[in-house]
Amino acid sequence: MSHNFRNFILPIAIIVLLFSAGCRGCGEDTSPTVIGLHTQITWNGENISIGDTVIDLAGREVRPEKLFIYISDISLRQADGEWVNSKSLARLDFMPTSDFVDGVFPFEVLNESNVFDSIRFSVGVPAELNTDGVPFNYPNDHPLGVVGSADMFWPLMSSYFTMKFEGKVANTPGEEIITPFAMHPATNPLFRTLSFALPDTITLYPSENLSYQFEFDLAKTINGSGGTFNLNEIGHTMGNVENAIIFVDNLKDAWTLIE
Amino acid sequence: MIFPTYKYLSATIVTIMILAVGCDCGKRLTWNTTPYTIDIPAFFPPMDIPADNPMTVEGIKLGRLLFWEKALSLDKTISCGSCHSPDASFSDSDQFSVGVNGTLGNRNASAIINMGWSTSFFWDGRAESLEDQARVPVAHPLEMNVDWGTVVNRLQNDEFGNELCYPQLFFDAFGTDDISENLSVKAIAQFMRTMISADSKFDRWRRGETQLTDLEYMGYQLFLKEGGDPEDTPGGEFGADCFHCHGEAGLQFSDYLFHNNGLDATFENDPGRVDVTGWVLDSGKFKTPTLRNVALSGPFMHDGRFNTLEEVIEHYNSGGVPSTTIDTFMKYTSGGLQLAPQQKDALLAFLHALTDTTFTVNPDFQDPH
Repeated sequence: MSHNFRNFILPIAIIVLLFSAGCRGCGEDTSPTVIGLHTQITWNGENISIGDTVIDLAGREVRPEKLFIYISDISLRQADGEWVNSKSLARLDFMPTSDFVDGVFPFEVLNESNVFDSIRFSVGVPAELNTDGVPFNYPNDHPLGVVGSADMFWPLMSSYFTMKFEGKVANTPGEEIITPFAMHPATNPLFRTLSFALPDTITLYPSENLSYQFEFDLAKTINGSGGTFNLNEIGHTMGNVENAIIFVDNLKDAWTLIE
Repeated sequence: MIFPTYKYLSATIVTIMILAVGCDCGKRLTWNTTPYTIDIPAFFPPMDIPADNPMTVEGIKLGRLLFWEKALSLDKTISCGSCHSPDASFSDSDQFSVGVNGTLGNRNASAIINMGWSTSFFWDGRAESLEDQARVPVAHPLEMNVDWGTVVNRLQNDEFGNELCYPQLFFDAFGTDDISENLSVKAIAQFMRTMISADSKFDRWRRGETQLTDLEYMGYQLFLKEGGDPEDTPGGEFGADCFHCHGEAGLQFSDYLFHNNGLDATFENDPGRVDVTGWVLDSGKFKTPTLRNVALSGPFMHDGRFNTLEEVIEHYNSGGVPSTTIDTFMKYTSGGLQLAPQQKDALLAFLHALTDTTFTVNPDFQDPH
């Protein structure tokens, strides 16, 4: 009996091994799931390009000239309320119109048939990456590296800027567009996370890719539920911390999930 | 009748063989390059080397010879080094460089220093790699003004004396003695990537090897602070506001981006970056140059309009000339930076602390011919 068992067990073990190896080798797609966030900039709901002339609340001409944004931690919320974080980090340069960022969820992060009802992302560099920042330690193609962070690192504070929105505004309607403004929120207290309910609950399978279209309304960063300020009074660095807080608090009004 | 013909033929063949041997200098046996690893200085980011142009000792040697080779100009009177002089931190101390036949350029020759970390080249950024950069001056009508085919033919066939044998050098560097434009610019780019400066007084201070004077340190603090009187410029810190464009994150003192720093109200004379991108908002913008060795690399600005650093500081102190695309950092609506005389002196002292003469006299970069 023992002899017969040994005769069977070896071929069975080999067959099981072969089958299991075969499953891993060719049957399973382990590529990551990619959630693309495409963002179009607008001014009071109208699509614009950087460099266009728009009108502010006081009827003054405004010309946005620069828009750089760090987007991080693209996450999806499961039905049980738990967020699955892609730990993504990208720099968006809206020069001149729109830009996109991908949240890449490694295969291991998503279990089969995950159900999600919300998406969120953060504007800025997460605190754990924004302490004593040292761009030269990153590869050049990394968004926090010297090249990747060009114009987005503040050496005096060893901090990355959350975003930069710059341009010029006329002092009175119809006058020359001449007064510069520069909104440069930086440091961890001005980091913001924005959440959006998905239009429909989605069931996401590993290796499946999806994209969402967002609108970023620059006019609402100046006038929103967080408060209002005048572009021709903020000069450089937004004049004071209160304006900077208004600006980042208004981001939740400015960003809209379209589809 | 047959015999004399044979005699002439033999003589001709022998002559051709002698000539051929003369052109085919050197002894190309086996190709075996020596990899060259760049020693990245402290606080510098990694340098990206193109996968199709790895650094080798042989490639760098060839690149240095080509950089200083006057056969790369139409009348064989100028080399790259003619307009990028070591004394001027490999820039031109003249406002505009003189090309072949005495033609004048229309922009000041940029300093060649730590170019391996740059992401675009020329004042308008029209070249995106050092290799592509090296192509341009050779064929440019205001510079060396010769087609690359002529250059390649010269390098392949001409006698250069001093046992200089370009087919052999190309074989040593790239495994082929079939000289081409692409291999030439690859070699020049390899050499230029070795031209690293990291031994200014500021570098030594960062490494803890020396002290900045009080005036130099004051200048460094001004460099890092927001410009303007907070009464006139919200957010102003009475600083010099240099860091926005001349960022020190990778110690290159340039953000590698393009700015209009308020030199002119209109841009007919030189539209700048817009000629490359076609985007009107790029009108009048030029690449931020490094501040390393800035005290050696005057005159300043893309058109070399300022002869001294004092003039440069005065320009920024004035706030510049308003225009459609003037940078929002310029203080053109609020009376300029309003630096006091001592602050200007401090800024000047700091800029001088960025001077690295060990770079300019480095024997590895001098004319080998």
